[in-house]
Amino acid sequence: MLKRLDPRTKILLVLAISLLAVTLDQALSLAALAGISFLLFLLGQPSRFHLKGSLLMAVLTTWGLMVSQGLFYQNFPRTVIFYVIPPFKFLGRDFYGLAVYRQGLYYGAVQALRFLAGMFAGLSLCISTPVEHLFLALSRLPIPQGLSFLSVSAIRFLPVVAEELRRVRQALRLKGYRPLACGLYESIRTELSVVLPVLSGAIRRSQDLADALLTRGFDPLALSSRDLPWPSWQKSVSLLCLLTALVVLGVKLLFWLYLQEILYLEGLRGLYAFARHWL
Amino acid sequence: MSITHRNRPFLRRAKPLVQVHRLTYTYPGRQVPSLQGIDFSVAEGEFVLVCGETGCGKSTLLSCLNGLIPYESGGELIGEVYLFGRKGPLPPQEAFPQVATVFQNPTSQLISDTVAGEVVFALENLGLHPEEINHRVEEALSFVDLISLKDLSPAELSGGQRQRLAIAAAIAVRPRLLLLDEPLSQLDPRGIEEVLRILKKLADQGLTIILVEHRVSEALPLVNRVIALEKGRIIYDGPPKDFGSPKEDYRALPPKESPSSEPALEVRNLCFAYPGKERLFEGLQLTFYRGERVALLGENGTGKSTFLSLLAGLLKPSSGKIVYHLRREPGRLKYSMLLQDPDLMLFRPSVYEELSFAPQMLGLSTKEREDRVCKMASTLRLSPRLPEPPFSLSRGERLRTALASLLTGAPQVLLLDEPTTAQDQKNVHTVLSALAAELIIFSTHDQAAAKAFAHRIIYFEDQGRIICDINAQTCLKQGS
Repeated sequence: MLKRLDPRTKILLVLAISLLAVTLDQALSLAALAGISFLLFLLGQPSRFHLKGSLLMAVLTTWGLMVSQGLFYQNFPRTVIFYVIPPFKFLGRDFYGLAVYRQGLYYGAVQALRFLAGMFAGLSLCISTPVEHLFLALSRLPIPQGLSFLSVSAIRFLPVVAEELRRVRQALRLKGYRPLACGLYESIRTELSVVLPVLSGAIRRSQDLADALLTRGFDPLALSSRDLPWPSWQKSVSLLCLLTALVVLGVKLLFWLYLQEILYLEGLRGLYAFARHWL
Repeated sequence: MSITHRNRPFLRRAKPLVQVHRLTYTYPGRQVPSLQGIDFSVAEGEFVLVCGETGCGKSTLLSCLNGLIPYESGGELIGEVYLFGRKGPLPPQEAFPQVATVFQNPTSQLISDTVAGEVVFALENLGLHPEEINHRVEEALSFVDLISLKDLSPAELSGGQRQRLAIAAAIAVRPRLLLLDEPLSQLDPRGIEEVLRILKKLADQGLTIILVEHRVSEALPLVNRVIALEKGRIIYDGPPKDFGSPKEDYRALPPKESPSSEPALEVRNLCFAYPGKERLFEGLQLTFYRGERVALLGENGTGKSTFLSLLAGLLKPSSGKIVYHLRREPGRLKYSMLLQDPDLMLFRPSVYEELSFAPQMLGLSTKEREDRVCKMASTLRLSPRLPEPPFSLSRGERLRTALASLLTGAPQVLLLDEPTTAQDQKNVHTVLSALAAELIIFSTHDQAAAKAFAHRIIYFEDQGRIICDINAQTCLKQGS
């Protein structure tokens, strides 16, 4: 189903989820967001390889973040769940030991949920959208062509740069280069120098592209006029999602102003309570 | 090439489309002008070939007409350029759509994800109505015989098809002047034929065309005027019949000594396929002998480069073996290979350092290194360039630098992937004359160079199939 959606709809959905992921702080809300994001990922019909890989990454990230935050949580209050190394005295000095803190685990879980929401949303876009369609959608966004078209071109050249880097390393081998055979200094110098032909190639390519664009009437300041139908229901849904994310951001800003004692409005008490418990 | 100096009146025709008067242009940071006192005019409907050796100013002249010079390149431009009666050079955006340009590298100028989208791009920039755009896309793609491929990605096209697509994108805006900058240089013979056929059709319809090309013999039958440049000056301007076309003369190449019967390299039952693609080589059996020079011919995509990469160990065979029989000699590379894009082989800050890299890797003394560098720089006409950064050199010089950087490693087996592509004849001559190794294997589209330099010619066809493995002498006699 996700594959049939217009790439612009998916881009805006990902944008809304990413915005919410950095705005929300409550574990329950973030868990719901990560759940929606995971559902989107499943709707993208990932291959077994993608599914296994992303689940492994999700588990490792969550585990890593929770354990590291649980062990090294520095804020107060903090509640010890158990000690890995109990407190002890050594040479007359007190050591507090190494403990796992409940608040640390919670904080780690919140950070992990943020990450998972963004990751699954991004993955759902990637696995359900051919690169060409993604480029097409980006170049059709209502922003100056100088930004949309050229950023798309830059992304498109990335595989070329990677291939060139591989070819330059082959060229080194063909000239008899073996790492460390000529000493550490020379090896580092040689390894760093592979950037030179790749950089020079990139400059040459961008010059060629710029020449081709200029001679074909390209105006970098013009808005893209290309027509690509965007189903109105998809446009409405994606704009609604983006609007929701912006509203949440607005509410969080108001709540922050209240917490910082900059702005307090009596009429917004209900909103403050909502933000405190759910956002 | 017979050179004729003629008086060229400033206004040759009643209604010239292009008039260039005493044009001199110097690139920023250079002392010597790239164009000096250029005078010519082009009438509507003329098909003009601009030729000359690499670095003579052909492409610079074209850039003065499409406005990239001086508006994008900067530099100092003296003299007058008139386009359609307007004083120029016009900025590229103003020259568009009356002037359309097709560049050398078809890959770097294609920007859309479909064949049709490529043609649409410039039409949308013109702000045309979608219906008119569709009509023109159909018209242009039909003209270059690509209409059946309009939904494909340009990446799926052959080199010749891509260049035809670039031409379609250029003519779709209905220009009055079409400029082409070496559109044939990177194409195989079939691609060249395809593009020339399209250019002939355009010329027959009366479009004014200025074609910059160093593959003169292929282009000459089509044009009705030739302008030859040398060191930034016009040395010939006249009809093609009076132009002494440069013959592909390789008689001055070092004589070929007979190869020995001692095998140097053996390919045994080689099979290879790129991941997820059809098998390219199936049970390939070949033996190469000491002292042999072997040319690999065939169209793009037939597996020549892959074969060389397999020999150089850059790719691993799916099955089968490649056996080097030559005994390793100290102070020499066992084998080396010139990549198709020599620029990827240049990574040192100066030509001298570039040339001394391989000897350094071989552990040679400073004296030995210097000897090899100086000898090779002299052979490949690079001595004055030794202190300069490789990327400041011309294309021909960069190729020679990359080659010299391999030859200073004195490889026993030398592999070269299209060393003649996009090079003028003088450069090809210099390069071929300098080649030295126990076994030389090179791929090329230049059949004349292959016949003149190689002992043996191997023709590849689709799927890496070898359709012919013959003695070059036989090939010459047969004139095939």
